[in-house]
Amino acid sequence: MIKLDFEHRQAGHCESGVTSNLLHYHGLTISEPMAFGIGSGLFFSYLPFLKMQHAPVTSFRVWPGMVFDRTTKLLGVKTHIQRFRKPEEAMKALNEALDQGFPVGLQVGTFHLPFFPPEYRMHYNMHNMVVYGYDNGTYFVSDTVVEKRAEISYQDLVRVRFAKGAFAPCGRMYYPYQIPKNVDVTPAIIRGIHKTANNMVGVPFPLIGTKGIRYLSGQMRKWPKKLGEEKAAYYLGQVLRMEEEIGTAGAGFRYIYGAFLNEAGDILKQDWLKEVSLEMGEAATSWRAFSYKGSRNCKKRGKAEESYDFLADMLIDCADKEEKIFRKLSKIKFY
Amino acid sequence: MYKEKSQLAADACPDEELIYQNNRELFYFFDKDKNCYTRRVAYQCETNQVIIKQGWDALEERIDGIKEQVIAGKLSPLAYYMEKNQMDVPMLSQYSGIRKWRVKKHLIPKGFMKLSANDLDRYSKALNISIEELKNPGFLTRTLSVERKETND
Repeated sequence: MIKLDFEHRQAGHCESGVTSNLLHYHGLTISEPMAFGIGSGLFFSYLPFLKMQHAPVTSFRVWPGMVFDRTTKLLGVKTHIQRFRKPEEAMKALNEALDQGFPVGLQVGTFHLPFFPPEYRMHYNMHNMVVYGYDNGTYFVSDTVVEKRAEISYQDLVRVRFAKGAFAPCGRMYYPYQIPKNVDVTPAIIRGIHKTANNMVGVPFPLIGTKGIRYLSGQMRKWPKKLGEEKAAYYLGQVLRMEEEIGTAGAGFRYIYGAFLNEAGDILKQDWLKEVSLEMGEAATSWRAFSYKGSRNCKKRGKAEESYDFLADMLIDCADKEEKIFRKLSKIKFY
Repeated sequence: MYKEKSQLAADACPDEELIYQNNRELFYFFDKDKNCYTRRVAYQCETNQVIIKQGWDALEERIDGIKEQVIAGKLSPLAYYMEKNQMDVPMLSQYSGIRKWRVKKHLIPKGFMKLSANDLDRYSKALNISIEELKNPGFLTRTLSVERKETND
C-alpha cells in the first residue's frame, strides 16, 4: 500500500489545477492562475465542422495536455509523459511511478468516473486528475473539480483511462520528477503571455482567436432562420455550456486569466499589466452578461426571449475588448 | 492575495432553486468596485444550471424519439442503448471493437436479430448492461417479443 502525502486543493480548471498541485507537491509553489497563464491555456476556436453532442464545437481552451507541457517546459522542470496501447502496461507504469514516490497526473474520460457529479457525466475526454496512492486494487484520487478526495477501483480506472471517442486519452500519464533549484518565473510569464496574445490575435485563420469570436457572431445571426428556433437554442446552449460549464472557472477562463495578469503585474513590477488585467475583468464580465442573456433562450421551448442579433452584438463587443487587450499584450518585451 | 467573500454584488447569482446540488466547485470572480479578483467555492449558479439542464433535456427527447421507433419496429434496442449512453456509431464501434458498417446494420431490427452470441457479449460489455437487458429492454411490449421469436425460428 502506498499513500503519498498529497494536498487536495480545489481548482477552477482541471489541468492547470493539476499542474499547480503536482508542482506544489515537489516544493515549487505556483498558483493555479499562474500555471494557466504560463501554459497559455486561454484560447478561442469555433469549429462548425466538428460536432459534439449534435452541435458544433466551441472551444475556450487549448488542446488537452498543452498547459502542463508548456508550463513545465518553460520552468525547466523535467517531466515524464507517456501514452499506452495496452491497459495492463499503463496500470503497471502507474504503480511503478507511485512506488517511486511521484503523484501522477492522468488524462481521463468523464463518462465512467464514479465519483463525478452526475450532471457532468458525458463523453468528455479532456479531464485531468491526480492519483496519489493505491491499496489492493483501490486507487486514491485527488480531483480538482470534486470537493473531497475520492477513491476508484482498478476496473473503473482502466475504463476511464482508456475512454474512447474524440481526444481519446490513451492512458496518458504525466508527472514532474526533477525541479531546478532556483526557478525564475519571469521569462516564463513573458513567453506565456506572448504565446497567448499570438494565439488570440496573430493567427491568420478565421475560426481562431478574436476572429473566431466574430465569425461565431456572424453565424449566430443566421441560426434562427437556418435551423429553426429550437435547434438555434440548442446550438446557443452548446456554446454557453462550453463557456460556463465544468472547469472553466467562469466566463470561459477569462476570470482566471485576469487573475493571472494581475499576479504577473505584481511579479514583473509592471503596472500596465495590472491595468490590462482590469480590462480583462471587464471583458470577462461582458462574457458573463452574454451567457446570462443567452441562458434565457435556453430556458423555455418555443419563442426566444432575446433576439440572436442582440446576442451576436454582445459577442462582437467581447471580441472588440479582447482584441484591444491582446494587441497590448503582444507588445510585451522580452528581456 | 484572493479575498474570500461570501456575497459579490456584481457577478454572484443567488443560491436559490438550484437544480443540481451535488458538488461545489471553485470559481473566480472580478469585483468591479474594488478592482480585484476574488474566488470562492460554490454551486454552479442558476443561469448555468439552466444551460446544463437544456443539454440533458435534449438528450432525453432524443431517447424518447428512439424509444418510439424501437416500439414501432423501425430501430433495434441497440440504437436505444447507444443513445442512452450518449454514444454515436464511431464511439460504439471503438468501445465494442465491431466495425462501423456492422454497427450500423445492427441498429435496425433485421440486423439485430442476426447478432451472434459473441457480438452480443461485446455490445453488452461496451454498454455496461446484461445480454438479457440488451435483447429485451423494459419498455418493449410482449407482442413485439413474440413476433421476434417467430422471426428467430
